Amino acid sequence: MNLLALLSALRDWVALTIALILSLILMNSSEHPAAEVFREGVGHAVAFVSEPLTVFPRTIELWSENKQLRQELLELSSKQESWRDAMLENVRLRKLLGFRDRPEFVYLASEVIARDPLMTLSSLQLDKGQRDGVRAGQAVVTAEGLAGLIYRVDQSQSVALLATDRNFAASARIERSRVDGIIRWAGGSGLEMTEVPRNLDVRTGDRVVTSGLGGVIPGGLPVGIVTEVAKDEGLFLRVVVQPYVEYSRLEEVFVLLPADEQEARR
Amino acid sequence: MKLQYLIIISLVAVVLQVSLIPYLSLAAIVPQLPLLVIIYLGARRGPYVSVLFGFGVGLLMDALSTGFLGLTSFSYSLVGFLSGKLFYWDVALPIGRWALASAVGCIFSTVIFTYVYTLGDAPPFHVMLLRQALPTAGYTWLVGMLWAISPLYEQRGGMRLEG
Repeated sequence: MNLLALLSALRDWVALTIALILSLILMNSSEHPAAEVFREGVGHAVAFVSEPLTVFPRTIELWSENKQLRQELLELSSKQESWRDAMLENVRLRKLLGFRDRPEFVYLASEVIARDPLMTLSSLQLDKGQRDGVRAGQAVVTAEGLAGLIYRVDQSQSVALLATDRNFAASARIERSRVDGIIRWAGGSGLEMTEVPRNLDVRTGDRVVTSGLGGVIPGGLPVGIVTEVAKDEGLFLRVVVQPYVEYSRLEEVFVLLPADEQEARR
Repeated sequence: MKLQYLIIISLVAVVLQVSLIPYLSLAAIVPQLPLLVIIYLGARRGPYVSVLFGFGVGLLMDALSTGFLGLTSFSYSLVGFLSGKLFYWDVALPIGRWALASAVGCIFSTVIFTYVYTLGDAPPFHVMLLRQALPTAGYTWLVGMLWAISPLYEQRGGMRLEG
């Protein structure tokens, strides 16, 4: 009885202690299959409610985006002919040199149905899953460039890990000088290209694209633009990259599916 | 206010956080609506209720992210407790008290989150603190203050929450 009275008197502290201990236990079992089931369940339930809420702001954004895209379409149509010639020439030259054709990808359009609620904004919930051919590790892109990677998939939905997650890393290249490095999140909305030796040629204003090394993310996807190059202590440069993609405002993305897998599915 | 209303408010805050709140982002900084709810619950219902809600809401948010399960529930439980212990107010919460409670709560929560999040991994704590945590705390506090000066606060903030 006394113990109950004591616990009742200290219930604030007891509740806090239990909550903190449970949180620590959960942190240590984040990868447990039961945790994944819990995440899936919560994700589905919240997406079911949150998806209709985004219709209005999404419509407004789509309307302004539509205007902008029409303008871009006009400009691109005029450039298309010259690009077609260049592409045909490229195909001819690759054949002459005996280059293997790059693996091709199918762009699977996917809507963002929920966003990361944490301040790190490091993931998106997408409305495409295993039954659409989505697998963990596939690249997620937008019209502007690389957005992230598929991290978790269930039957009808998937979670994309954005480049603004500390666990994200992708091989990247300076387009002008063909210098390779690793692109990572640098805190905030910025990225950083690491593992670039000090003596290599990187300048402010250089475009950064994916290199395709590693075979997970295809090469040539735009990543961002170099905004700062610093020679800190050590062997490597500090290359700050401003991404092309605005991660906090993504509405639709594309998942890159291997074309051969899609052919086989049909 | 009855317990079921508090549960509904908390759930609505989480749903808004994953759907509409990201549209308010400024340079990838997004205000944390559920955090404001937990701080407010602490200030009006005391530490016990806010710890329970902090844990529950934090767990939901962890489940909706790709981070550790338990990280947000850890920081929200602590911030709920702190808010309840330091700022509990039985009657209508004065705006000045809310301003202080929300400022302390926002900074405390984001710093704790950032500290645990960056343990032993990049980006370093100080970088994430400056680029992400403090701007998020500031923006969240600002949203809390906008609510406090709105007519909604006059109606709801003045209510007794016992029930």
